[in-house]
Amino acid sequence: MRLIKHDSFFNDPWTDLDRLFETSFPELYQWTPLRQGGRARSVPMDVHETEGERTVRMEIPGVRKKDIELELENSVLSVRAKREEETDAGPQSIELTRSVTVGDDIDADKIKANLDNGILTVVLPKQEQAKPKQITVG
Amino acid sequence: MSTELKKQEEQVPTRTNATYRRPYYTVDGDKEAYRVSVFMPGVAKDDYSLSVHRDELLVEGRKQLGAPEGGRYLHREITPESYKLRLQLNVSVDPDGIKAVSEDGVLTITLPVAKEARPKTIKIS
Repeated sequence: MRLIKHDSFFNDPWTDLDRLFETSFPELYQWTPLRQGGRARSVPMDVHETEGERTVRMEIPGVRKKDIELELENSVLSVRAKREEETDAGPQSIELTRSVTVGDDIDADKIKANLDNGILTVVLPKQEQAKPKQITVG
Repeated sequence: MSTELKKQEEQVPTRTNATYRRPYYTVDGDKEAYRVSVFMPGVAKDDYSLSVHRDELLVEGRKQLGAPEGGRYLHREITPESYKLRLQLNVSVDPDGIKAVSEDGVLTITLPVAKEARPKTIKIS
């Protein structure tokens, strides 16, 4: 027997109405073109930059620390993650991958990564010579 | 120059937490219990709420994203909205036996099937 009654728009009209509205008027919403929620394999990502570092954040819920492979090659950061999903048809292995160009000014030895509540945060410090320098006029 | 940039930033509509996002979920189980896994990255253990009222299961998760100080975003896809999932249950469950565990941004809810709803084997005499 199925646990969930027919899962449709009518069960939960408000959240889906929100989404319908937002996709109809994308210019009103900052996030709309990038909305990917509710899908199994999407990996939404943020890239943030300060003077000293770039930070990449990815949503990978359900992935254990040991099942994440992180790689930096030719200024491209690649994440490969695996998770097991229990479905009615038995366990299923889902692979999540995402790559991003992070620039060639990254100090590869100082990269730090952290996983917290399904969000992977990778901090990529810039090389010393790439940081802006203050030059005082003598 | 710098003031111009700031003005542009202010025009970007900011989303309030009044809207919710419907999370991705999976269901599996056997004759005795069902397991619902709700994927809600960014929600800490204490920020979940779960309720069953009649045949409706309501799961909420408050998402908290630490905003970095200073700097700027080069790319943004992660949304700050909290999660809300409302599911109509087709099977009567034992409300006292419901258990939930959160791990790596996934809330796994175990819903034991109520005794009277379990299939009965009838012996032929």
